[in-house]
Amino acid sequence: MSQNHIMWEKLGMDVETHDLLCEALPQAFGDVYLSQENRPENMAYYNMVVGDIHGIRPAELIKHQEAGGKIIGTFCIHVPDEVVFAADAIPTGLCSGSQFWVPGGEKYLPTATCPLIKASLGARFDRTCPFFRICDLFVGETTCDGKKKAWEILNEDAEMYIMDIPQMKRPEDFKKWEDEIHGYIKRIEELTGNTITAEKLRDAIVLVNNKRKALKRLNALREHEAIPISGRDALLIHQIAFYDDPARFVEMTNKLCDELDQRVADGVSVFPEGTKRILLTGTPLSIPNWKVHQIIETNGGAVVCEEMCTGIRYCEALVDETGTDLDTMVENLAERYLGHINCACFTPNDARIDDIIELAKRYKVDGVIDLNLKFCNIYDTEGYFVEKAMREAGIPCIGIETDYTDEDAEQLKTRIGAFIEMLG
Amino acid sequence: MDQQTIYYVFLPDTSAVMALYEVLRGVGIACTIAPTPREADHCCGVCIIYENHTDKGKIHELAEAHNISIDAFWSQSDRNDPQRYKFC
Repeated sequence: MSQNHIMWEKLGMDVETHDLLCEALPQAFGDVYLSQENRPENMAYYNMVVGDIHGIRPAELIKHQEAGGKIIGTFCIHVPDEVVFAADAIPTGLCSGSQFWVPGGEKYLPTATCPLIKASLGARFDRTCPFFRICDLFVGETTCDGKKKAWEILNEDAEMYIMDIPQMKRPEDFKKWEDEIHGYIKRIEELTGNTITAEKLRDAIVLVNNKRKALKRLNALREHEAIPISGRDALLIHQIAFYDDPARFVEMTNKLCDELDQRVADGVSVFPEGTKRILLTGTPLSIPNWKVHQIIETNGGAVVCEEMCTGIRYCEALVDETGTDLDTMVENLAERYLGHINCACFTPNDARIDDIIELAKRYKVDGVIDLNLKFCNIYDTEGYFVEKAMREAGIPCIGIETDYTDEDAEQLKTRIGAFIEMLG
Repeated sequence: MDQQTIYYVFLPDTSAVMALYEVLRGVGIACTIAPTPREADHCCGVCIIYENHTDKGKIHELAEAHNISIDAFWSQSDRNDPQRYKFC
């Protein structure tokens, strides 16, 4: 029996069922990643992380627990990781991008719930994801009705803490979010037994900002005419950022960017000339959801930017590092985590439309694909404004709705292929 | 690289994979890290893929020189298909 199997059994996982997921990963990874030509050499690190996705990092998290530390699972980029690091705990994004977990979620949730939420509950209740077994606390948030109700169900099986995110961005909403962050600090201090000092929080702000800076550097390299890295690889890196050790991630991502700098200097592109540059906007693509990127990039397109939670929204804005006292730092966290993430949960959300237009220009895109996970009502509805604004700006745009299954892949291929062909 | 065949090195754990990968890269052997194919039935979840089958002997020597234990060399035809559209 492998070390991983021993660990999974100790975690109380359904190892036999989980093996089915492990068996599917190598071929899917091979089709999407190893079939690519001229991949950067430094993608080897990310290959390793995802290749042993339920082995390497879970073992590190367990080691941290054995030393007395706590692990905090989160589901949304509005929840500040800095608070967790400042208490010497480790935050981890929770996997929810596979169809494998969806039927498990459907035992508890209506079918007409987005696959991301269904997969999250399925992973926990079916005991088929180590991250969902390891966490000492799950932190939910109120970004949509589906999640709010799902957390109540998840709370029957796991300890939860909920952050109530405002739905508008008025001055009183920022104050409210500051209060929520203060409440989160208190809860994490209670859980860990550690006090979050100004010094600790400042160090954590710098640590997480460094991760954002590395991702920003990576994304900036995709602005070039010769695209040095595929959208699939960039997506994978963003997905891994949610759970990898941040200091190691920064080191490896900057190393990759050094290689990409050289490619830019040499005019090396991973796509043939004439490949259409696509901006993808919409709902998040959690690991291992690579479907739409794969379809775009095998049908004449290159994804050069993701205006998504698993993209620009995660890393574009930094937290102000100049705060010296705890209250100012919390104010700075609130400013960044509420003010600079333009999720469809907000009304109005004009800033997201402005972002898409600005990014379309910056990344010199030929077209925009507005991607919506099935049953995500808020992004689906906001698609009206996205498509209208793109029309007015003269940017070709198509709206796509999909889920985690493979069943619509051929239909998507036809639609996306026709859209790319139309871009001339 | 022979386009029809993929060449693998299997090692006991991820630390060994990373260690050998660094050694191979250091001497310019074209390789990467990848998930272990299910058909290989090997316990470690990741392995090394090397591009040129003529590097096999050199890889063996380098592993020995660095006290890295290799479980097995393995190969199979390239089954990766970017148009399969089957995900996980």
